[in-house]
Amino acid sequence: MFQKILVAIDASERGQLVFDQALQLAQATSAHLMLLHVLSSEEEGSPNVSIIGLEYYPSIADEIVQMHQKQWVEYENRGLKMLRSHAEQAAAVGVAIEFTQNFGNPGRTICEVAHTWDADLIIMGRRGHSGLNELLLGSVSNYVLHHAPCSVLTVQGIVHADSTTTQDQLADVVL
Amino acid sequence: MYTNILVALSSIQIALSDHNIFEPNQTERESFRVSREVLDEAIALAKPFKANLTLLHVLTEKEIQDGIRKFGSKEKFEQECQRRLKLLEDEVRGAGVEVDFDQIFPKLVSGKPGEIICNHARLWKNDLIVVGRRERHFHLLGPGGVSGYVIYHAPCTTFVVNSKASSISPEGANSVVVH
Repeated sequence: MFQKILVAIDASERGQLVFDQALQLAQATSAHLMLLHVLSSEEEGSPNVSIIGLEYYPSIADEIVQMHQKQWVEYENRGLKMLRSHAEQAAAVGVAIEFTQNFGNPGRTICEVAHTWDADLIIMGRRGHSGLNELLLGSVSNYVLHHAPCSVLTVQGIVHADSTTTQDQLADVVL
Repeated sequence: MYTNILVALSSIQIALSDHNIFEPNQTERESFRVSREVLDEAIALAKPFKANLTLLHVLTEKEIQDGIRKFGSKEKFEQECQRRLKLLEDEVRGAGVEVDFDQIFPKLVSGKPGEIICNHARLWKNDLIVVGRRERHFHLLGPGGVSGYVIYHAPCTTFVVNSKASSISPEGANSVVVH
């Protein structure tokens, strides 16, 4: 059914859920996995030291730039460590897997990799931002949904207890 | 992993054994194609997990009006929908997948498709929703359309079907290949 599944993950708890589902799906369908981690300033945990205006403070500018670079390198390394750990998990259950870590706009990068790697399914988490944040940051899953060259599977995060539905809300139902 | 899959269909005139199809217009053709893919993918996904399917036929207000007009009355349209749904259920069973019969509502009512799908998934406790990406020009139906709404509001994993042969390129150009 699926032969090549692209899994877009981040370092969050949700990322682990996404990977777990992807792994189970790959096992059930004997698919190959490609893990993708997009490094961007939008991701939680990415360094976001502002270096604008530092030219006015030449004495500390260098230090700050160096610290910033160091943080980016650490961020990159954390990402690679996560990817390797997932790859080991997959290998342990006999699933063929590769991984890649790219800088860039998350939505666009996911679609580009899906295109060049010829994925037939993209698995990703829902962005998880609410309301205004979703609107301002743009939703990665919404972008991918409309630009993906293949099917897209979005994994939900933890469902909150208050989202229940009563029979009344089902009044508008179609056969 | 998946036990109870909700299959959202915009068209149920898709049973392979159904010879009673009216000449479709452009939109209907698109709907048939997408719904056919959605059903095929849902069946394929159900098999390895021995999951069962619940078929949900979702119509917009306009589609209901069109249907009533085409068949003469609301009752006749409902009967026709029942007939088609039965054919589909037979087809799914024939493929070795169990189908849930219990939650069939006999009346035709309109509502927002995305909401209908998500509300049902919540009530029926589905662990996967399979939906198509019908709105190729999505801006026409508002941001995201039905599939966009569902991936945002669904209480569970959502699978948006989009076959590779008929997709747009990452740059967004309209290089659609019709197969």
